[in-house]
Amino acid sequence: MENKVRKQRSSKRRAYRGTYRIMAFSFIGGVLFLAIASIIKPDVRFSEEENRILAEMPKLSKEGLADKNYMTGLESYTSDQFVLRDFWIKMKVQCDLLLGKRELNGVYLGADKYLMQAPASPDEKNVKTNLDAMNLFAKKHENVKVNVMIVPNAVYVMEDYLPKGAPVRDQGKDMNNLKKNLSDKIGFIDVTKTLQQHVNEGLYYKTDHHWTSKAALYSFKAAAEQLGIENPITDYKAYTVDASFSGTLASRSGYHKAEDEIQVYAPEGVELQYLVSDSDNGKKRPTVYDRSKLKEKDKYQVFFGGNHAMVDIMTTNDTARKLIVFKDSYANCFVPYLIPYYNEIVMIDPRYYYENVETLMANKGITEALFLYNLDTFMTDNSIAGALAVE
Amino acid sequence: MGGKYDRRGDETVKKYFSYIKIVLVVLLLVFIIADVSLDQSSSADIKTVAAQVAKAAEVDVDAAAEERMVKRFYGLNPKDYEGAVLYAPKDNMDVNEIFIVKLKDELQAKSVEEAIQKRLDTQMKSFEGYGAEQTALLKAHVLEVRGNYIFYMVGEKAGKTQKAFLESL
Amino acid sequence: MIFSSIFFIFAFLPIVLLIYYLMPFKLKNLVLLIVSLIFYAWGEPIYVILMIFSIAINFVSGIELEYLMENGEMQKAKYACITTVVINLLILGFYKYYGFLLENLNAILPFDISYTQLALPIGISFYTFQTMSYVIDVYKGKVEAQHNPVTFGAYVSMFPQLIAGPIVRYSDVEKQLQRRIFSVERFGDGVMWFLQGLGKKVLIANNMGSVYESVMALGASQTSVLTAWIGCFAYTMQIYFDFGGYSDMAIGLGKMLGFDFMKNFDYPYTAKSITEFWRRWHISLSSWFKEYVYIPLGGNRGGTAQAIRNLMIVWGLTGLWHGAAWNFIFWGLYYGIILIIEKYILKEAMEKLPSIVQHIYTLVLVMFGWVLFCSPSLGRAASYMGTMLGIGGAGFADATALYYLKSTFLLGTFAAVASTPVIHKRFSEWIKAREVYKRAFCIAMYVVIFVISTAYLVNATYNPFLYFRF
Repeated sequence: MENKVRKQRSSKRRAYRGTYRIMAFSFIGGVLFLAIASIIKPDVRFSEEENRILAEMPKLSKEGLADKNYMTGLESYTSDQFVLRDFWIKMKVQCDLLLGKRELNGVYLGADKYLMQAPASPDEKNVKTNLDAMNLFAKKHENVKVNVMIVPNAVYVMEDYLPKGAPVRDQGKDMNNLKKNLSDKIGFIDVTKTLQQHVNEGLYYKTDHHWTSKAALYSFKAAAEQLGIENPITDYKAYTVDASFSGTLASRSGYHKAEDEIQVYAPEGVELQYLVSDSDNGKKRPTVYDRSKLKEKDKYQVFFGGNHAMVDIMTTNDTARKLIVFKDSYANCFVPYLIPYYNEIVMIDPRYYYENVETLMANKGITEALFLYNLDTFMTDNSIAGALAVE
Repeated sequence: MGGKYDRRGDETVKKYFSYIKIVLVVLLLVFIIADVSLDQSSSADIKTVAAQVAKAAEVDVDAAAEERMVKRFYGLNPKDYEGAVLYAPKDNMDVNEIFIVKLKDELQAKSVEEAIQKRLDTQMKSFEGYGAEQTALLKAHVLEVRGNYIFYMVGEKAGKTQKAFLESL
Repeated sequence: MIFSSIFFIFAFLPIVLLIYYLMPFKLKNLVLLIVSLIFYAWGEPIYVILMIFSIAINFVSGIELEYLMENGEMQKAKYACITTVVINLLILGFYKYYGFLLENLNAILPFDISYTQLALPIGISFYTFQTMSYVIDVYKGKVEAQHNPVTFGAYVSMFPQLIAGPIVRYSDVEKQLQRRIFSVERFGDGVMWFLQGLGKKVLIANNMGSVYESVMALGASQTSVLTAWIGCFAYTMQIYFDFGGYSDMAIGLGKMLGFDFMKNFDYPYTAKSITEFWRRWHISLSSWFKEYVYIPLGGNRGGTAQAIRNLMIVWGLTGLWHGAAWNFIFWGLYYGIILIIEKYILKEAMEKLPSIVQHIYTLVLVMFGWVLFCSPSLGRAASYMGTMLGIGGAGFADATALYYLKSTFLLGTFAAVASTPVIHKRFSEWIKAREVYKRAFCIAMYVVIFVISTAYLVNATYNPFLYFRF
């Protein structure tokens, strides 16, 4: 009897000692396996999924050791070049979703696989500086008609797609504030209502923070009157130029289940003649599209080949109207609709344009100005005031 | 080892441990004072520093941007400082940038550092998810505060240039 | 370097273990000392010198005390002990509290003293407390002075507990420093502790932390009562699993190296009173204060008035230990007051209450305590507490509150259950069970924790350690 108990106890003891042993060996085995596999695996320079250059092995130097750059570099190197990186990322996102999380790295996962970027909280001081500079600009250029068009972002326009109750900035309030603080010399174009009427039609890319050409077209039609465009062309035909676009929000969130089409709209029955050149590529070309960008990761660059400090569109249209557009990337798919009505359009990206705007306007004989931004960028911009200021 | 020492042999040495402690405390004080008050300010002329830096970074010394660019990029007025030299990005897809400031007073360091950080954040935001190369360069920036000098650089040769910067002081 | 990083787990740790186990026992402490110094220098390449000084001074002081006491010079020994403790406190005070002191002096004085804010050397609060306990224990004759600088250095700098505790006392590891048992089973036990801690930290604490941060980022007008409570709950969970997870990892790493450290947490959120809570939370710190501050001050031997004074001193210092800011001091005093009330007024009345009421009472007070603890300023703490009580917020509950409820419900519930002994108890039964499937289940769970934690670490965008600041 006693013997049996002892025997039982010792076999039990042996059994759980075995468990501890398995634990020890599988941990050592797992760690060594992954570590060695990561060493053997050749370094990857670029992560397509994250759209990001991965860290390289840092070079050892006295300075690097003293200011810890070497240590942090080595830590990012091990983590960036870890074996099966894409697999781990997918698994993490999957776990987050399973736990009921609907916000991934500042991106909300909405209904219908819509990814929507949470707007950043603005620096109120910067916003005020920008608005003041714009008011001053309008006052100074009495002969130039100034319009401002700020486009709210997906989180606001497509609010119903957001996870219910997700805490986002109230962009409606921001819009009202902007309207209130701009002088009456400036025409304010608010396309919120127009966009809201078409909310289910694909106004924003699912995987990218930009709006689509369709949304831009609706907005153009709504804004035409305020822009002083009579009888705008209404007949447009859509062309799908790409069906496998995975944009910045997919990279940021790690959620890759949706894909987008990129469409461009061309007016039907109207022959336009114009030449485009930009500050990065002086060569004049007869199109606003850069098809080579469709082979790259960020396919939204198909419009004008991305952002440039300055883009100049010269047309043969029989009009004296010359427009300057201060803009962010939202304008890239909107400005094409404006081409038929102007003699020349100059697009300025204040983030990169460092020349004197006044001189430019005088040289070109600008008659109208348009500020075209998406609300999120506008609220966090700190370059408009600098570009408009004259020294 | 340890506890099982030959006690008697130790006795003669152990007498001196009080003094060793005092010596150590004095050395510690020296370390702390050096750590806190190490005067790293340099009288080097910002032009010569900039020349050394430009050489290491392989940019044209005379390609420095106008003063108003310092204001646009960093919101800083160069006149507030002993001197400020900026090598700005050449175009919108370029992030290569060098910014050297010689302070009038080391108390200015914090505000300049903050301005640089803000500039870096803006640049990061512009390029994140858009320009992978640029983002990588921005991440690998160097920001060094050494006494009355501040050095900020984004670019391939940031490490090498940082060394040249430190040596030029 | 933090434990919950790819670099630590897949590079530093395997290399350290390899060297450590290849060396003969005599050299193991030396290996431990060297790798610990590297570990520390990794994060503090300059302040590692400060730590070496601290080790050297306290080592020398231990032998100095022994010599004086052997020769019967008790008075001199007393002074020597006091000077060493004061030196330790001055180092800590200078690096941790100097800026805070001058900031407050400047606020009172008519003129300003200019000062540069020093960077806080990581872990200084932890290792200074360890060295002080050593010197005091040598003076009190509780332990013999260590004659081998390598052994002593290995004790102070030992990397598992170096930067965030537990505050291991010399008396607890004195023997282990000379002799320790190595076995595969022990190592396996260490692995389990480590993985358990890793999971607590990476899976629970970090995720709860991001909920808390998101709630804190809302404006007061967007925060309903329910949202405020969810945010507070998230922080309550984050800080426990963060710090508790770190302690578990430290204990696990200690076991892998052949050491046994004391438990630092004992399911604090299951306490029925604040007095009990502090017997279960950060045990190594509260017992340190009890032994080296409260009792030397006279404890409760000098009557009620003195005991109250002593308690307030201890808890003011406990608060201050957590950081050089007023909200930490108030947080400490808050607990001091509650403990005094419990001790002298509520004690008997409380015990008669149903235990559920006691639990709720404790948790609510602890949660309000965390608001005080985590807020950047006292004003912010007050307004947040106001929102929790329904003052000035956005009603009782709104869509945002439901959003947070939905997105944290699963993990929050799991965290709440995991903060009680339920899961752990079942696990420790099963791991020793006779049935193979039970043991296999346990192993499988650890593997899952390891794999998922790795996935989160590869992705780490949010991975702070709260207790690093202290």
